[in-house]
Amino acid sequence: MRPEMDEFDVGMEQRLRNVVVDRQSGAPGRLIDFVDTVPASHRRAGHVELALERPRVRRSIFALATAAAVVVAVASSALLVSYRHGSAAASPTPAGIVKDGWAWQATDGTLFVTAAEVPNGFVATCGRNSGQQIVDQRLCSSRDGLHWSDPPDPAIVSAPGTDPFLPQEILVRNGIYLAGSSRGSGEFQGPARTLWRSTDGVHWAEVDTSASPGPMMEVNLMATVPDGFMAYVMMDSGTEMGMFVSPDGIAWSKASDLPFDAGSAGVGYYIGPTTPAGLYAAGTSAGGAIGPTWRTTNGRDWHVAAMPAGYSQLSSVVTLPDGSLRGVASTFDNSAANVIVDSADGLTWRIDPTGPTWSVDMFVVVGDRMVAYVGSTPYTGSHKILQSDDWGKSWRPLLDLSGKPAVGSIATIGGRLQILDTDLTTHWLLTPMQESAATPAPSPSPAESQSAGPTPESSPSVVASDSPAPSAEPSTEPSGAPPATPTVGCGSPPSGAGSVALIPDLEGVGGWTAVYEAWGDSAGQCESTYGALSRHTAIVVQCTSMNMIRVDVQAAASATADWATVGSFDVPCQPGPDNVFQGTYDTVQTPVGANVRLLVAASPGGTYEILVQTADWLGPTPAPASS
Amino acid sequence: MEGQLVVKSDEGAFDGAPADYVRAARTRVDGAYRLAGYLLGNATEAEDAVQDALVKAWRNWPALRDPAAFGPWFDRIVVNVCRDRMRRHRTLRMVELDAAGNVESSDVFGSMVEDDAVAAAVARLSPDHRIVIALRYGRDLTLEQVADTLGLPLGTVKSRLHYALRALRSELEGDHR
Repeated sequence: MRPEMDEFDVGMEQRLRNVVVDRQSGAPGRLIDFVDTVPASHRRAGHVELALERPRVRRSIFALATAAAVVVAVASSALLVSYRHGSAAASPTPAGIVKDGWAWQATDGTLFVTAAEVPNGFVATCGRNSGQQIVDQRLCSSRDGLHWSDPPDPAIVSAPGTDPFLPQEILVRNGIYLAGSSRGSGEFQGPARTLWRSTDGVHWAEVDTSASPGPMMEVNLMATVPDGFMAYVMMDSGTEMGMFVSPDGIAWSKASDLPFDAGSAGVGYYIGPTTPAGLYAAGTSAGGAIGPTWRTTNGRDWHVAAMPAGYSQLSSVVTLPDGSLRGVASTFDNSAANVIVDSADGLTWRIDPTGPTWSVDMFVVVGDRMVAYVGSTPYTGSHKILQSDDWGKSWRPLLDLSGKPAVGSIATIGGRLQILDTDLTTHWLLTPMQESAATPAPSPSPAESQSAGPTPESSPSVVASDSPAPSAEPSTEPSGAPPATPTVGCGSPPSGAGSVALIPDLEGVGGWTAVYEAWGDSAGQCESTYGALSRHTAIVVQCTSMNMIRVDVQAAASATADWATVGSFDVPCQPGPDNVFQGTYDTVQTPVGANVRLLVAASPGGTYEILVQTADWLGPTPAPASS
Repeated sequence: MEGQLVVKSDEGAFDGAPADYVRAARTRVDGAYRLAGYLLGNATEAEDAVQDALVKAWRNWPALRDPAAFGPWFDRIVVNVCRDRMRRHRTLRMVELDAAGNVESSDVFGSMVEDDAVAAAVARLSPDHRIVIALRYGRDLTLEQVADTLGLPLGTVKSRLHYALRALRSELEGDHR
């Protein structure tokens, strides 16, 4: 028995094993047979399939994937393109359109992530959207950030070798460019494992790290420091790690260990991203107690940073015009919403009381504006992009060209804001404009002050852009419009702000349509019957002032078939910070064209509202099946 | 614990042929199904997840440089597919309907969650915690193998397992109060 385990733990481990031992069921025959059909029926990719989780956009994409899981999973990008063209981009071209102080330009439709600036333009990892991932990842280049070249233009980047060059971060110091690259093996992208070096930012060669710093499991370029480059390296053992420095990117020496024992059993730790104020790290004890947050600016010396109570991690740190620092603080275990914090010296951080009420996943500075990507708290699947013109004193939604809240992940590129829509196809570059100015005035943001190269000579021109809109694919919208949303009520309807758009991310997007709505209170079980829903249906529940709602979803394949329960949906309903409806949603699979019945039971004391949304409207409502 | 699979073509050399894929995948499909069932707590979901994973594995078959690594590589794909499903279907359980619209019976994983307090507590964990529990105890992997399967540092796996067990203990002790 391990010393930290008592009899309860040992017994629990045994029970965990027994759960499986007792159920050693084999795969169904049809699943085994399915194996044989795969090679013949599915095209094989020529390149490595990688996850969408990439360091620079990790936080936003990670959250985005959760927020838009339903959209990404079942709605085709063609539908979203159709929506965009039909409503948002009804004007001749979205390129150069000025809206709310931003000049919007659509890229050429190439899917790119992790863009970095180099002397002659930009480099990025390009690929295609497989539905939930970016696959066929490869190096690509662009002169203006709008039009991308694959294979890359050798005048912008050239990186021969056996390992792929997919830079995650590029640093430059004294004419030496250094990049960490993923190795590109396996299905999902891991951390950077190879180092690449260049003396002109164009021609790159892989650095032999076998002797210095040694066989690595991962390398994270952190920052330039007074005497060279600083990197956090995990050795092949997986338990040995530390800070390394190098004057030239070739010879590395260990500068320090982490200020906590990250290799011990039961220890959790966090090592932050590059910030203008240094590198931040924090760890727990083996028992789970969270230790202090540490900072180093040279890889050698560590100092304790004073953080707001409960917060240990820092990201998205930028330098404001007055020299102060602003960043996002998060807790070690996601037990509280992320908040914006300020500091004068990088060592003492305080919560900004004017920050957004939603949890801030990340923010960037573009020109003189802050743009934040935030998620609802408690998390209910909703995200939005907020902007601030007064350095965070006030926030408002960033609206897209149709006037709706913009959706997607954010990043910066060459003094512009990137918004990659949740369809992973529509990609915008937004240039900040003065309200009365005719031309944009891009300027490098503080966040980009460490980027690799100067702004390319070919600065983006909003009015002269010939960037086409994303290629339109045939619309798969069904013929026949969806019905006006019928309502079915039981008891008292919601009052006040009862009519809430429950999934703004889904409504009208990707073909998702609200087709039915139900409401009620706790006056017994409420039954509502719908028909002609597609296989993919989102059922959204919002409620107020009650403890729990249970929704049993039943389906009948035909008018004469019996009802069968296809899902049960428990919704805890708790008061929110703004005393508004709390909601959640989930999807249910129902036979195509089936009638669907919801049986709703609610605890006493409040009202609820249910919205049924479907990915594909199949036609008129058939007669409901008999109970 | 399952051993590592060495895959060879009919000619004795690995060349990424469809036959190699089929042979390797067939050997792993039972284990993948159990892993998915343990993670998702539902037979229909598990079957769908393994189907997705099989297609993903085939599409990335050329990228698998070491055929002996097929097992952990495929497990990672299964885990990631399941993670996506766990996030997407947070509380809703899927039930298979037969042609007549009736619910299919004998969901071994569903009954596992319904009948066993420990399995039920595991099902209430966060996806990442559920994954380390499933690999460590359901798959009976060592911590190093779990780290390799997930592509995570060993320290992170230890940390997750620690927190997962702590959460389980809290749940189970609460059940008996």
